[in-house]
This record gives sequence, structure tokens and C-alpha cells, in this order.
Amino acid sequence: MTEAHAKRQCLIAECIAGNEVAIEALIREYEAGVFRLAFSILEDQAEAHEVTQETFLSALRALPSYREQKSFQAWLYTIAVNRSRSHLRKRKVLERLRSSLTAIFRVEKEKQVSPEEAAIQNEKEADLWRSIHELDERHRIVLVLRYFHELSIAEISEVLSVNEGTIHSRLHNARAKLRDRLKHLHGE
Amino acid sequence: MSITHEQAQRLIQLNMDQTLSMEESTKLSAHLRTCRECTVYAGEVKEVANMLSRMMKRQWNAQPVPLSIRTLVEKRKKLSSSTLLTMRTAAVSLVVMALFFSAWQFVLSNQMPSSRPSAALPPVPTPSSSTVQTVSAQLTREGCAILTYTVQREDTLSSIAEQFSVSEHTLAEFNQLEAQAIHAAMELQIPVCHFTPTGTFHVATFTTTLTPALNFKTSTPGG
Repeated sequence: MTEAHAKRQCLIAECIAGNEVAIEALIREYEAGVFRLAFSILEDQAEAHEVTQETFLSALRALPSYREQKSFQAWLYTIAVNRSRSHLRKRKVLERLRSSLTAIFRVEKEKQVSPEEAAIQNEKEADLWRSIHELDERHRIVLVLRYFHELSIAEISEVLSVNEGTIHSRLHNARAKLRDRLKHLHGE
Repeated sequence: MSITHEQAQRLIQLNMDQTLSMEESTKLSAHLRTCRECTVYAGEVKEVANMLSRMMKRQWNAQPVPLSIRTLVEKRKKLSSSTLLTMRTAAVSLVVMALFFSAWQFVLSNQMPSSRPSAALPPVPTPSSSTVQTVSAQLTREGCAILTYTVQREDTLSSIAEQFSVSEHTLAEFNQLEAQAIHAAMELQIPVCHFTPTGTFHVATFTTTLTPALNFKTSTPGG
């Protein structure tokens, strides 16, 4: 057992006991990671903020049931991913409602989500960004965890509670699809 | 020994996420040496991965993390403390309201000569005189706590008045004492009002100035 690990266990025990200082330290340590995870899935600052809060609230509530079969970060990220997903589902319902309303009233459709200008430096990247959003949620989340959060396959499998073989095949499919799409658009 | 393109591509992909076994690795490199198509594929997939990692970081790392600790800690506070806060707020606002009310009473009783009460009080329709009487009774006692004090052997009216910071006059009038005479074991009603800290402005004033005003209202037409 490493020193950092022992320290974390101690911190968690303090949090369970209701020590405000420990709780604040715990939140401070993981806040940025959880927020970035939620933001990379939801791409909405306000919603990501909400998910961050929800994640910590339910994590603190569920802390006594945390066992060491998972790394703490993976455990926290699992909660964050699940919360983000439920927000996505809610959003999907709203979107469906909105699209049916626009169909009924023939209101002009809002323009599609475009990538932020700062992050995109050329045409190819813009196409890639759009292609990511054409992937379904399961593939997109795996890409985000792999390439933005730089988790290993084992860690992703822990976070999503999906076995490693499935993660491999999702990554494979996602990358192959993106490659095909780029090749199609920029035929070499 | 040789593998198909499909198998090679699977290995190329796998290689990006974990290290291949010795056997897989030799198979793949043997295939890539002879197959140009798969070499191109490997390059393209690698480029996609690099672009993904670069773009996501540029896109999302720039995003400032909002400080949520304060709100979280506040949200976590237990219900009891929040109700306590509500009760405190309610109590404070009650005191403020009582102060305002007493200030209003003070202004009313000072500015308004009893001969012309209608100038300050707009005619309000009131159903009957009996309800008005109860209202006036409440008005005089609002803002005051009534203490019951049993007179001791050595007490004088002035000592009691001083003890409770009320004037002798108030005490006498409030208890309807004749000639300010008190005796031991007698029970005195002592009004403790927020708005009479010096004792110069006493409860009795209300009764004399307000009651005619309210009585006047009942006689206004259109009631």
C-alpha cells in the first residue's frame, strides 16, 4: 500500500465521519477532473457544473459503501458519467419535443452545434469535430475518456462498468469510423 | 504465419491501447513490411488519434472550472440548521415589524390631537363597534409583554418601577391603583414594552388617544 493510497483512505474515513475540512479537501482534489469529465460529455458549462455538484453530493452520501475494489477516481468518475448520461437523456427528450414542435409550427430550426473557433485550426479538424458528434454516445464517451482524460483501457472499463473487450471494440469502431469519414471528405 | 488485412488492422488498433504480445507484434510487423495498404491505414488511424487528443485538450482544458465548493458545502448543511436560520430570520423580521409598528403608534399619538382624529385616519368601513373595541384592546397591548409580579414586604411602588424600568405612573394606571397604595402579596401587572426604554412614554397614552380615534371611525358614514 503506497503512502498516497493510505492518505486517501484516511481522507475518505474522515469524510465519512463528517469532517468538513476533509470533505473540502476531497472536493478540491477531484473537482476539476469531475467537471472536465462532465463538460466533455455534455459540452455545456451550466449543466456540467450541475453534474459536478450532483456527483459530489451523491458520492458523499454513498461514501460509506465505497469499497476498494475500484480506484477512488474510477468510482467517482462512474458516478459522474452516469449523472452526465441521465442529463443527456433528459436533453434528448427535450430535443425530441422541440423538434416535434418545430415540425408542427414550422419554426425555423436552430443551427447545428459548431465547434468553438479557438480549438479548430483547419478544415480537417473541423470535419473531425463534427464527425465526433455524429458518433453515438457510447462511442463518444469512450473516446473522451481515452484521449482527453487519458485513462487506460482497464480504467475505462472500471468507470463504465463494461468489460475490456467491449472497450477495445468500441475504440476500434470509433477510430475506424472517424478515419473513414475523414478519408471520404478529404479523399486522398 | 501470414495474417489477413482485417486481422492486421485489428492488431494496429489494439496496439494503440495496449502493448501487444511478442507473437502478435512479430506477426504485425511482418505483415506491415509487405502490405502498403495496412501501413497507410496505421498512419491514418494514428493521425486521427493524435488529432483527437490535441483537439479535445485544446477545447476543454481552456474551460475554467467554476468554484463549486462553497455551494456544495452550503447544500450539504443539514435541514435543522436551515430551519434554524429561517426561524432566526422570522424572529428578526418580527422584531423589526414590532419596532415599525411602535414607531407608527408614536407618530400617530404625538401628531394627532384628539379633537381632529379623522385627518390622520382615513375612514375605513367597520362592521360593528364591538369588533373595534377588541381591536383597540389589542392595539394597546401589542408589543408589550405583561409580567405578573407579587409584591414583597419591603417593596414600594417606586422600587418596583425602577426594577422594571417603567414609570410609577404607568404602573399605577395599568393596575388601576388608588393613591398609589400597594401591599405585600398583592399581584401587580407590569407592562414591559419595547418602545418605552426611558419610561417617559407609557402604555396609558395609547388608551386615551387611540380609543376615541377608533370610536370615531365607527360613526363615519358608509360603514
